[in-house]
Amino acid sequence: METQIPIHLIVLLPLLGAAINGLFGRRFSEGTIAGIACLATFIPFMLSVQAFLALQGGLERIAPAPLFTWFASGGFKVELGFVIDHLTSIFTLVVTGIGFLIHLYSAKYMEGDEGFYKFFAYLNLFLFSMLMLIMGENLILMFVGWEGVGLCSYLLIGFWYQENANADAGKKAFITNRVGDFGFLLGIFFILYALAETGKPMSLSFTDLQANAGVFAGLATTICLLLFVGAAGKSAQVPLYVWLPDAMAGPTPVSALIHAATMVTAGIYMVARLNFLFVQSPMAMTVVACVGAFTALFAATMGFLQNDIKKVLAYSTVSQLGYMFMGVGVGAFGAGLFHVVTHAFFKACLFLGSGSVIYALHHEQDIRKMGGLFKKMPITAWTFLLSTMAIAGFPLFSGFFSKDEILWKAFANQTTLVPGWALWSVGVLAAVCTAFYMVRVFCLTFLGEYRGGHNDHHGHDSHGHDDHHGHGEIHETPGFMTAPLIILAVGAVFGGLAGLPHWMPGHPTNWFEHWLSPVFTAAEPLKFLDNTSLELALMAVSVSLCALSAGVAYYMYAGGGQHLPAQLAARMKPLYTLVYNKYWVDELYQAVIVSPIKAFSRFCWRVIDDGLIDGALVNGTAGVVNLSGRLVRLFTSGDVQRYATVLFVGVWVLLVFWLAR
Amino acid sequence: MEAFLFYLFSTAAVLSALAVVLPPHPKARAPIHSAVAMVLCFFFVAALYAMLSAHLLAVLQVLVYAGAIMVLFTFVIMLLNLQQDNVDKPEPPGFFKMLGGLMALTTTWGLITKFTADEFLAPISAQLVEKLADPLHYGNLQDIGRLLFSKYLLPFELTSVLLLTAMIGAVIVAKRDPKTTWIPEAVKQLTYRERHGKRVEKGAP
Amino acid sequence: MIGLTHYLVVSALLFGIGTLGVLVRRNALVVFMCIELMLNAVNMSFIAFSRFRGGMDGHVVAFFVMAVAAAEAAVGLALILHLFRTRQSLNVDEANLMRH
Repeated sequence: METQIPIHLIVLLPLLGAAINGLFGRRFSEGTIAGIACLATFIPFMLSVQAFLALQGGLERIAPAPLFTWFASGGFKVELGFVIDHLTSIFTLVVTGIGFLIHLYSAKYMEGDEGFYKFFAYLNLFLFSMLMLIMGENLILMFVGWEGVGLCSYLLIGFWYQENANADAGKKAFITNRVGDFGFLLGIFFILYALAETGKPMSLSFTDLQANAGVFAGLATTICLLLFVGAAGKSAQVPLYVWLPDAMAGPTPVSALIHAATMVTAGIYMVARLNFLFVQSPMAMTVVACVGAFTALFAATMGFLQNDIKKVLAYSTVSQLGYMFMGVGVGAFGAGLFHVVTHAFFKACLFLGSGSVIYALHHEQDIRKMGGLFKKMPITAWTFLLSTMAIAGFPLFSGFFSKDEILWKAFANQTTLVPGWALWSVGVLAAVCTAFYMVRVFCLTFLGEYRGGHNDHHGHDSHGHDDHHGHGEIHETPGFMTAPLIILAVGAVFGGLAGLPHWMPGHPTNWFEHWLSPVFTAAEPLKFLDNTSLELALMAVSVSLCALSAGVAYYMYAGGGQHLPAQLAARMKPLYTLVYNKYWVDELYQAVIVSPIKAFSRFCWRVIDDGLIDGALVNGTAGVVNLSGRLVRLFTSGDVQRYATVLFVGVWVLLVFWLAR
Repeated sequence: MEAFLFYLFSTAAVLSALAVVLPPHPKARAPIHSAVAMVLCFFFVAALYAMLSAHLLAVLQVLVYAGAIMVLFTFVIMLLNLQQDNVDKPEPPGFFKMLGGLMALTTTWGLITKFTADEFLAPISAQLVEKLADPLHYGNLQDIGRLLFSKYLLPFELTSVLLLTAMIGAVIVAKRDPKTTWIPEAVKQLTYRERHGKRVEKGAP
Repeated sequence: MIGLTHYLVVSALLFGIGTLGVLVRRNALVVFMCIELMLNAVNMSFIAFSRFRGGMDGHVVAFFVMAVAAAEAAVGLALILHLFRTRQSLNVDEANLMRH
């Protein structure tokens, strides 16, 4: 009876909402549009809750029959079917739940925008793609969703496309994703190859893949590394992270939904879903963990000096994603996924909070021009503070549990080819940086004196939003926007209860880990150190270091040391410049990759297309015909005797032949 | 005797043919001179036919070629009142004319060489007869008539159609349509001298 | 004595002279006359062959050639009349309106 839950509606209702809003939304009022979109999100959320409860009741998965066979070619068959198992249920709850909250938020934030209906159509389309990604029963459907979220990301980042910079950011995101997708596709091809080689049926459905997992033993490293390229593109790891900071050109709800809570976690989902492949290759897992760790630290350093509030959060997202990859890379799938969930809550809250600030300050995004907002926007300020504490790892908040679990598992793992303590050190360093820059942002935004002018500036959000605030009067944002903030903050604070570690008094079982264990049966053989006292000691070290870092940040930006930032910047000029310019990675890519490609394209255009094909082949042929016609025309002299002479030449030749015989 | 006659007639024919093409005298370049030389040539050719016992054709040659066709030519010359052309400014022959002349000469030479070669007639030498079997019944009207109406009946009928067509065609082409062809009456009557600059006396027609 | 070859040589000579005239002379009437000359040369050849083979088929062919030559002369002269009427001259070198 529980299997009668129509889970395919979870995926299809947002598509319907997108279609209705996209095709007819132009004529609807804003309320109607938002209503349709929110409904198309809320019903799937309810269905997800229902599915979750059904699974809780003892089912391992809800797998109704596929809707239809998409295509069958030779031995290769792909069916359109949806599955919810324990892993997917978590994701669907997060995606639809947070998605719904952000829909509510956007109804207010995007008010008055001329593309209102388009925005909600795109948002629903995004949800459809994301849900297809996580609920698809085979790798191809996941890839379809994968591409779909990439498309929606492009559409939504470049939503205010009238500004070139926004359109460019959208393109950058899409193209960088594409590079990753290329790796993903190659991975799929290798999987199919491995299946074909050993004569197994070529089915990419996850159940079948897991059943045939042994087939991939030889190629596991190659496949996993290729698949990880895809994940790195989608989830913004080094070296494919460059699109995420630029993606902040999109409206803030987009940043919150797509680039914090959902799309960017698709990479982690993929690694988790294909855990039975990854565990076969310690090398691949090492790569994943190392890339994750490095990204965590690398991005965190860049967060130090950014002045755009959204950019700080973007780098923070890249960094936290690195943590998640570090978690799954060492085999701690439960821990990594737990961080996905907690991160979704506090990052979405942070982004929506920043959106709230931007909205209140008429699109000012530079934190150097903010300050003193604590009293004026209490709800935003408190939720932001709580989320900041969560991300910094303040004890007993959700972020603390998830992050420390990852750090411990990284230290204790026996799988990676790189020593666990090395990974742990990098992770702790990144955590210290995280604490620092988040506190910095909080201080500069909410504490101290308001440093902005009292005129409205044009912010970086080129929003067509008409200005209905009074000048100089900053007040809290409307309820539609603060309510989601509150809900998310609650999740950020108390979310840790879902994944309490075993060392807590009372030895609770880690509910989250337990819930996901049926999915990760392949990962059970992975070993970890079992030393509770060591675990607690390391935790104490990391927490104290983070607390110290937070304190220093507070001192430097809201306490007595506010002269220090400028002084240190002057003292360490070269380092400062390096980090401030984000290590010039974008410039490097531009010079090494983009410019040569552009030059080559230019060559193809001018030389090959215009010159060779148009000029030589097409026009040249016409020219040759023209020329030969002109040449032949010279023969028509109009002189009959000349014609007769030429005629006689022919006869003469024949005569010569005859006479010579 | 036969040889003497042959050489006489053939030389005369060739010389008069040459006179048609290459006028011997600068004052003899008009087409009428060529026409007269042509008639002469035809006569000698007819004589040669007679030597070949082709009596009917010899007569026909004189009647049709010399008597009808050349007369037609002469009529046209007279109608058009043609004069010598290019007496003032004889143009030098162009490349193609030189080429043509050269080709004609080499062709002649080549043909003659070929014909006088021993092996030319070798394949049919068995069929050649020096003396006719029945000289009285050769080359006369009855025998040609018999052939025309038996073996060559179809070409005969077709030739009659052809002649009819040619007649109709000639009439139509040569017909002067006053509306499209404008020849000023004065021009038609002018002599060469008048057309080329000499003044006409008053009152001349 | 006087064999087939002699007559053939005469025929070849007449033919060559005729060709020369066709290709070289400028006056259209003279060109036409030279074409008749060529036809005559061929006639001579036919008759000669016919005599020395003993049959009369060559005569018949020459007969037909004559008939066709007559027809052709009639039409051709009509055309020459036309040419003169339009151009006031029979110079074939100058009759090149069809040039490119």
